[in-house]
Amino acid sequence: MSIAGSQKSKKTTWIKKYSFLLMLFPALLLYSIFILYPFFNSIYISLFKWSGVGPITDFVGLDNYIKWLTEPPYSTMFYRALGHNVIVFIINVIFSVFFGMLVAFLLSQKIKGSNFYKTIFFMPHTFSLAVVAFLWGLLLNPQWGIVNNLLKSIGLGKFALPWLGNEHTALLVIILIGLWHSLGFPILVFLSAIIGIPQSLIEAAIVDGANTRTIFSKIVMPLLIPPMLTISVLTFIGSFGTFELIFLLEGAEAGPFYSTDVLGTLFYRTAFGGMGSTASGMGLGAALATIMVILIIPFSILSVWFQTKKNVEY
Amino acid sequence: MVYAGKGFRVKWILIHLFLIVYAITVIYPTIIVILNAFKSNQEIFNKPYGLPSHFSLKNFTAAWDEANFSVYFKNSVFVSIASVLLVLLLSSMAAYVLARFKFKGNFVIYFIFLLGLMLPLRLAIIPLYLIIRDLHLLDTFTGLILVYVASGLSFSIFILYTFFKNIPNELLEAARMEGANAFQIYYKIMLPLVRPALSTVAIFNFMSYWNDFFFPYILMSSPEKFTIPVGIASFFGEYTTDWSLLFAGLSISIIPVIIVFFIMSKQFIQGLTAGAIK
Repeated sequence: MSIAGSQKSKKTTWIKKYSFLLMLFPALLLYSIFILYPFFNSIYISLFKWSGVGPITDFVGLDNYIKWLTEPPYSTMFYRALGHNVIVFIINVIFSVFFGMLVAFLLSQKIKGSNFYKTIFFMPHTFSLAVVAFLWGLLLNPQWGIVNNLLKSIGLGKFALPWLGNEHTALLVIILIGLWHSLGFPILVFLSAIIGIPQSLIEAAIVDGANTRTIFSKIVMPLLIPPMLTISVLTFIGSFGTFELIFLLEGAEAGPFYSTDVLGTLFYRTAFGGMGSTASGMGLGAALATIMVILIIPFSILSVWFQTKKNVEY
Repeated sequence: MVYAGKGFRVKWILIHLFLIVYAITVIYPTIIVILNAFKSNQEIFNKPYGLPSHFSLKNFTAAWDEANFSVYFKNSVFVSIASVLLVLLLSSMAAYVLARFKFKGNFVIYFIFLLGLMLPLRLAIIPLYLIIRDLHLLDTFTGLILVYVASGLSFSIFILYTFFKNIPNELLEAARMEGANAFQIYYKIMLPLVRPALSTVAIFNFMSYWNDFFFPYILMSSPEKFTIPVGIASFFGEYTTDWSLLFAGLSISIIPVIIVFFIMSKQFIQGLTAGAIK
């Protein structure tokens, strides 16, 4: 009797003691089903030849990966798309870092209306990429589009091209549209870093007789390296995940003539758009997704590391 | 910066000139879209830049009623708000437990949640699509909301965890002495204390749900369940040459965002750059 009683109370105290875990459970459950499981399952599917219907039985090992990396036509598509991602990244990172830093530096000069400028520059960042895509699609319309109209009216009519329909300009124009949307972000990151530089440090340097160049190279520059790294890493992740603008402006085929095809559109086509006679879309798609995860993950780890470091300092 | 010579003034003029030109490239396209939404097709073709000859709301009502924008708008509001409320509840409870209780596996679980910050979920869309299909949640708001909540957990827990960690112990001890249980402490003491972090998390998640094109595009198939980004894509496919309607549709999508952004720009900027800025 007494033993049973003590067992019972032990049990209830145990339940009481760990009842807080109930509050963790819903988040953990959703996270496991909709985030963790899909990632592991994606790797599993990538080892099979599977069209998406019927049971997954046709195990092919690393075949899907080998196809993407070495066998045409898959490898041709893969490297072309990868090359476009690299171009997207290079142009984006140059603009985000240098233009972003320049604008942030100007805004930090205690100018009138700097808050207003800041708000304006950030505004497009709050628009959906779908909205941005169609907004620029309309403005660049070759028949009557405002951009070409403007070029004609200032005597540059010969530059009135079908910007998005020309294989030499389409990718570049889409990159610029993306920058129009996103540049406010690096500007703000650099601005907060510049404002965060202690004024006393600079004053002390002036007292010690340092000139502007020394102050910039010895004090300002080193303090700007962390935000430069943050922006570069985030730009890398963004550039290798780019999809919406190209998909919405150039379609799943990333025209004209695949001149805007990136890994994101190639992945979409493989998984959902059908790749012709091979009928192994899902397996191939999952393999491509895994390759992309492997490409992106070192940079994701860096970005999370930067963030956690900041929080600890804070 | 005490001196004010001639070179000094020229410098300021150049700075402003540069900033104004950049501001115009940002604002002008947006204004053009809104102005053209008031014009007829004929007028858009003939004078695309100027002010409309008269401000008629005809295009707006046409886009709102006939072209289903009222439905897309309502869906976006519902899905975004429901997802934000759920993600706030689940992530704050989880972050509270992870930050304030010692138990086996505590840190491992936190680390697993952090992993989600590194994995771009859309790359796992194939299995995710299959799970949603097998749960019979394709083309349902429930399916979309569950995906959104799951995808917002990592970031939200990450931000809230630090805030919960920094709350002094004395407060908790006092509440515990009075016999409050874990949930009561969370609800009555902890949540009010992390309110600034909750608003950051809410804005960040709300904007990513409101603007997302990818997941509803893959998961939803009936037009009456589209959110604005997917709705606008189908709308542009349907009315390819009805420019006045297209401009009106775009304007309906951006005007509310612009208004809310300008009213709460400080909170927005803080929310959307959280993580990247200390």
